[in-house]
Amino acid sequence: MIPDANDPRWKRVLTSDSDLSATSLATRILIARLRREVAAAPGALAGKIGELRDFVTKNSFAVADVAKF
Amino acid sequence: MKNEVLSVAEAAKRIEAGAVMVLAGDEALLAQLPRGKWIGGTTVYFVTEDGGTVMRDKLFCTTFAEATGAVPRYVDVAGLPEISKGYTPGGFTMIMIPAFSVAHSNFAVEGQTYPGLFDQPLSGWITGVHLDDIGKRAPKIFVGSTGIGHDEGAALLHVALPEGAHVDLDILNIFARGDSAALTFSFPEAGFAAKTAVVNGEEVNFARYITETGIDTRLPLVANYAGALVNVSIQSVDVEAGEVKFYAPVVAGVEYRLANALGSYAQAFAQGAGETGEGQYSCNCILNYLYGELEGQRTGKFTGPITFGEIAYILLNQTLVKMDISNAA
Repeated sequence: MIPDANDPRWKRVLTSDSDLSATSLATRILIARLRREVAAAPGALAGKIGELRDFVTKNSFAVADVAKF
Repeated sequence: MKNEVLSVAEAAKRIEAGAVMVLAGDEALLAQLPRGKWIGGTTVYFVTEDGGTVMRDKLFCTTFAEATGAVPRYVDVAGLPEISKGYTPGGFTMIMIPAFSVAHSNFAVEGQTYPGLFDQPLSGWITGVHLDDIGKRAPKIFVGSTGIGHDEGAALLHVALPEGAHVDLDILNIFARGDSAALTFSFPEAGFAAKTAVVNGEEVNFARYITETGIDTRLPLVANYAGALVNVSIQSVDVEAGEVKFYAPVVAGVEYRLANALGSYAQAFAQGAGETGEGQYSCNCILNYLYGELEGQRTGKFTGPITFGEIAYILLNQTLVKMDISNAA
């Protein structure tokens, strides 16, 4: 089950610098980029959450990563 | 998945039998291969079961027995953002790009933003030549659908897998970030070269800073991507021009630290790999081969081509990329 876009985990993972070593490489690299983009333009957060959620939706291996956000 | 060192005739026989393969070797060998479900790239440096070596008379071949199909594909520079359009659902994609090409530069800088790039494992490397041939011969990629070699663009192999198969793509970085949080580097602009860096919060000419502080340029700058350590290696320092060149682009706004010095590279790889590596796809960096003096030495149980850049979704440096496929339950 993939959390909806309003779930606080999405915002938390994109606005913190938490270590995600236990997640897949793709998730780590993507989130690192999205964090940089959100830091540079906080108003873009909703769009970046959408991008991250789309990635999780398309990749079954990433669903388990959400529990580590 | 099986890694083997094969003659041209042996590899050709395998291709003609319909095998899904990625191959690495000298251009003259790759150019002799028949059409089929494969891509190839040039290098003459390898780590085999006997250790690091220069090999010109045979090919390093990885055969994906797990594959249920594969589509080799060539994309030119303009087509790079459409890499994911060929993704086979549930599969993975292998990629090779020639060093020093426009595609190399574009993928390095923009690849992370290509639509859907992260939607399946994307693994591969930057092709090279013997170091004595740099500037004399161009690194090449070969695409099995035509058998033709290219010195620009990207060779892709979109591989299909049975339902339930799982691909684990990861990196083995033997470098750790320097311990001192007070020694940090960042760059105002992204790119393969930098004149200005911010060191410990102070803007400096980076070439002059490196020279004055005597930084060991064999050690990479290391960024922490949410737990993934990503290296940027220093290619050259030109004090006169005030410019430092890198083997992969620095990213604006990312904090880098200089890697800690290493003892034995081979030992570090062996420790990092543990008992893993056998039957996995891997490639490793020419800088590790050179600086770590890996000729004749093994890197744990990992074997594969030595490359001018590694790709695990993005361009990497001084890193071992590894990929494993688990069969469906």
